[in-house]
Amino acid sequence: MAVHEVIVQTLLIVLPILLLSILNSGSQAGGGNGRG
Amino acid sequence: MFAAHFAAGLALRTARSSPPTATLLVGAFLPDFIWIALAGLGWDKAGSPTASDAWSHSVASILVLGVVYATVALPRGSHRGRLLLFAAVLSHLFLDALIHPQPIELFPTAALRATWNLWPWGQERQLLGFTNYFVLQAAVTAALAGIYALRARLAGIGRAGVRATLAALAFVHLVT
Repeated sequence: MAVHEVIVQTLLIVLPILLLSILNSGSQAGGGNGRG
Repeated sequence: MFAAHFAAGLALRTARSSPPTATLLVGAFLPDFIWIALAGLGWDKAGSPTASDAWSHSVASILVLGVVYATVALPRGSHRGRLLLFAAVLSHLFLDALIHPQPIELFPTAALRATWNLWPWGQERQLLGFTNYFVLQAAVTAALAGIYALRARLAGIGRAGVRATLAALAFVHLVT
């Protein structure tokens, strides 16, 4: 896989993760360490 | 599967004492991140009949990835939080075992692999020109997104966020 394909494939996953993280930034426990 | 991995991570996000959304979603895609890295190095390949992506997508690889990720990503988190992260990584195995370019192997270089191969069936076009793969993934994504939508309020996610998330999931499924 060429370098530009690696970058594109990575962005195809990372960008939706960023978007969904922003949309779902409600209260959470941060791994259960007592904040939620 | 692609959109379904996001949906799996989001469904886990609604669990009590959930880790942050991004941490869960990265876990749900961890085997693909590893695959991309290995494919970039020319090691782990998919898409050709003789290629193998077992170093990132075998049962053993994903179990190891899950344990390592749950330990590293939440070093001071609760046992429950780490369990949810492990489940996020493991969800990748269950979803890809269903349909994948190649049957999932037990471990890299193993002759033991899933006895079913739905990939050729998945490429067939049915109603309205959609492939079976598209329809199957839509059904799985919808089921997981349904769990997310029903439980999102418990996780403190507002209605606007839920609607936007469902729209984003639908968009991701349609364009990929």
